[in-house]
Amino acid sequence: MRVLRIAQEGARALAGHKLRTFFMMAGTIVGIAALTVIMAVGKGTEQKVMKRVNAFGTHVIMITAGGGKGFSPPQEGVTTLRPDDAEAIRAQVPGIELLNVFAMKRGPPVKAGANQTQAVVTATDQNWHEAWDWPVTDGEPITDEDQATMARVCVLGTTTARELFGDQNPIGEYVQVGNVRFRVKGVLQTRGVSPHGGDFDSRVMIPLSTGLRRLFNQDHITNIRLKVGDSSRLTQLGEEVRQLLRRRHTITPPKEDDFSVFTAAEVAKEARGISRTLTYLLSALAGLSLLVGGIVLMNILLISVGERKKEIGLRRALGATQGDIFRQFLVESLSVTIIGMVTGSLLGWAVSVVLARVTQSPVVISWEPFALALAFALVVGVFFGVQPARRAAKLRPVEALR
Amino acid sequence: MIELEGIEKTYVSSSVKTRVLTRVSFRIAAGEFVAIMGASGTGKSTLMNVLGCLDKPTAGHYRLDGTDMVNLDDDALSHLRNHKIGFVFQQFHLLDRATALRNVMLPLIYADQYPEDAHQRAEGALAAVGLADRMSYKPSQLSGGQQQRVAIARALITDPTILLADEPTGNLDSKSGAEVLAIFQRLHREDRTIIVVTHDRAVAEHANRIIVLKDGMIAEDQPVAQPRDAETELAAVVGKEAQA
Amino acid sequence: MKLSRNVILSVEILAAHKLRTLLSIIGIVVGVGAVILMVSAGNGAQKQIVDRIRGMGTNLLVVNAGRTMIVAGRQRQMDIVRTLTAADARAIAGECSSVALAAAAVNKKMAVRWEDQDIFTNVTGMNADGLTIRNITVASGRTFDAEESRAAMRVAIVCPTAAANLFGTTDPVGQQIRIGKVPFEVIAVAAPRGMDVNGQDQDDLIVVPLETAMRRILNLTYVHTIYAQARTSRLLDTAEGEIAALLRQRHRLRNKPDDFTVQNQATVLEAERETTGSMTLLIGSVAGISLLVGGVGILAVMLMSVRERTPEIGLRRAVGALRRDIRNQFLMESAMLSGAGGLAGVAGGVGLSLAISTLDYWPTVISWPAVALAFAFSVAVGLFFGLYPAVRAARLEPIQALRAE
Repeated sequence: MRVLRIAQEGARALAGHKLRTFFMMAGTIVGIAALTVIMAVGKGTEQKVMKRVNAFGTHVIMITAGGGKGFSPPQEGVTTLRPDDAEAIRAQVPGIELLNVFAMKRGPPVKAGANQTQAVVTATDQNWHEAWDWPVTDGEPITDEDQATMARVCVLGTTTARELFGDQNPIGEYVQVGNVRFRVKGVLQTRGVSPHGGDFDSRVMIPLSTGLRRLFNQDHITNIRLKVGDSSRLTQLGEEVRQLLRRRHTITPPKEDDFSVFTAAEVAKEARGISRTLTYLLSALAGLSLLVGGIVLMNILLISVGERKKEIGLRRALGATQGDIFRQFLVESLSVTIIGMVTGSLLGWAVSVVLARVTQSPVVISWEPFALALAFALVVGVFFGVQPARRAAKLRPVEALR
Repeated sequence: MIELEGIEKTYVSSSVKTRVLTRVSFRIAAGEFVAIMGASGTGKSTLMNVLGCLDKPTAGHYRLDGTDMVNLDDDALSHLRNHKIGFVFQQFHLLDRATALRNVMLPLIYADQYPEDAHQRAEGALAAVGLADRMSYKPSQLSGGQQQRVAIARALITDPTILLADEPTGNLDSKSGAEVLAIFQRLHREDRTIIVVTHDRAVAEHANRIIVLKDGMIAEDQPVAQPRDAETELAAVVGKEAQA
Repeated sequence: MKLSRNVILSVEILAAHKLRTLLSIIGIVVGVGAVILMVSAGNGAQKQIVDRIRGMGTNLLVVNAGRTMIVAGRQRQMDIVRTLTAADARAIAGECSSVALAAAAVNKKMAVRWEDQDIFTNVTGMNADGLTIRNITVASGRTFDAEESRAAMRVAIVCPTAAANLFGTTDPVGQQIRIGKVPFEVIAVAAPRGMDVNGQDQDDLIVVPLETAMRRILNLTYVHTIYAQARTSRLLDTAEGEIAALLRQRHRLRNKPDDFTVQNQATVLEAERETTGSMTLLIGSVAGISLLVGGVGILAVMLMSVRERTPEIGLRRAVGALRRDIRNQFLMESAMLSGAGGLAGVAGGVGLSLAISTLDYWPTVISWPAVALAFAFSVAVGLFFGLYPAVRAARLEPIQALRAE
């Protein structure tokens, strides 16, 4: 095919002038390599964020007593969040699959025999285990019966169990929280680090009714956790919940909410911080260098057209059409950017791997940078190759041969 | 089969009109060996460009094998050059970074149909000009005369209607020049149509007919009674070298 | 050849190939401009943060009871500790020589009511020294006097945001409010102070005398925080040491770990500077890649230029130019090329920085040393990338050069 033969001529021209070809490629190589590394690091950070979001729960809306910015533990002294708020939400906001009401308190010492420790004491209803996807690995969970009877039972987190009972099985033993004795009926699955960075397994779970009435002596709760059926409506449902609570607590802006509503999206945004913006900015700067590389490419190609006047005149004399010359130079430009893209991608990949090993930070190699790089290479190659190619094609053979 | 009728060529540059060719008319039949002669500035280069389909006349008709140039667009002219014209230039115009073989094959790239036996054809063409053993040499490794012979092989590869040579011996010493003219005369004997453009009467007298241009017009158009024989001249030069 | 002649010659040659010259320097222009813009933006952001930190108090040290961690951008107390007292504050003020002032404080977020309006806001108990240390000044009304502090009177200073939330457009001064269940009279509105370094609104606050807060509202015998002001900024680290030593002694800690944390403004400032500094460096470096690519472009163009001008070089050598004349000529050309690009880049970068700062998109601070450095760097790029072609040009043999086509 004629086009293929022309392409071959272009390839031969590039191979014949290796240094010049290398210079034409330099910008693309460097720009694509930088872009690849930046995107790999960005993806790695994004992965970290997703882990945090998953730990929070992708279908979850968390309501915390006490306002303020940021996803944080409940504030002491806020008494306005109540169980009937939860009922109102269940009744009036559609799409809620599961509701879990609980009151957290950190601080009261937990004793078992001679051992004592500090833990988060959580008084919760029977929906806890399902709402948090957090089953017991030993013994039994908090049930609605416990709730109904204000039973004095508890479920321990693995850290607390270990601190109080060592290797001994805690089921059936008794712990004392404040001045109330609880029988241990279960041990929770190990979870690890909490979304706030603390130890998730340092906890004591008791029935909500027992906690509010017997231990804390209060009517208010600290949290409501909602599980939503359709995660795409999270933000919208979060807003509905927020409006409902504002009405119930008679809060009108500019007064601040005495509660905070958090969805996975907001947790993600907070975890991300500036990293996403930073990645975009750095990618744009890398793209800028690609652009500069394209201009360098165009410049070199333009000059080379001038240098190759006689050759172009010859080809035309031998029967090349304007189209043939145009296509040859365009192929030269495209080949440069494509080979540059491949080289740059490989280089970027290598640097990413080294970076991951050295900094021990997450770096993810995916296909997206390659696809983006290819698109860039094609666009830059065509855009910056057109002008020189046109100039070459428009040379009049008679003048070129002079 | 070459017909020039009232060819005129005028150049316009910054509103200054320069007429280079005026009422040039002649015919060249198949198999003729014609020299077009004239001093520099007489328009012989322009005439050659017209004959070679590199430039269109401002007025008049140029018919090659029946086809009138006047109606042809750029692509059609390119096509015609590829098929019907074989160029040999004073400056050789070979590709520096390509071998002799690749240089010879170059016109085939731009042909309608790339022949399957392109390689063999090129080898044959090089053999015909005596360079069979220099196929993979680059121009920088060849003498001036050898380079011009490669150019001749290139000109012949598409089996063109006319071989058009512009001062073919201008950059060559007398021995190489004689070699090249000897090849032309051999090709002529094999019924090729050859047109040589030159300012040198000694070169022109190797042809069978001389057309003289003066101030853009044909001053003379005469057959050559006894063309010089390049082979003889070559032998003389070789003999001189042997004696030295 | 004299320097000025070289310069004129270079300019002539560069002007002869306008398009080529223009394209050659675009890389340098873009690179330098981008670097300057990014560095200005980074410096602007840094200044903003530094200003916020300074705005919280001059030469400030914060002593918190118990261990604290930054959780979700806010100081969170990790355990309840009752050992920090107002007496500790007085001791610090008296016995630490590098400390100018010290004041104890208690805080809690509480419900505050005026007529039928309820808000939930920060309430801090602090005396006059505390107000000074934290830059709280009275905009209208008067501050507590010593008598009011001692007698634990129920007077309050309201900061602007809390005032707006609670009183709307009514003048708060003289109004009666309830903090928790306790009635107070508003005696002043404070001047606005803006956001602190954690992004919290410092004006969403009501201040009452320390004694009043401890005795009448919160029923505490201990305090949460002690604010201190070092005499000079250079004494901040010394002050931190003195305070820690004093408290350890007063709390009889011996081998036990600290039951308090001391935070020194200088350390915070330093940490912030480092973070924003390294971020600016990263961004600036990536912007600088364009500069490098531009340099490669100049190298390529100069090489081609040398090749084109081989006959000219041969001629110059034939009429007496020395090798180094040729080399210097080409070096001068590439330096001028990149220098011109650098100037244009500086103009562009500075102009853009000023524009986005004036239009309020992003704070920028132009660091003139950085600008000078960027320009110098652009010239250096030209010299560096132009060296190889210049040396090659100088090495050409006159005869071969003249013979070349």
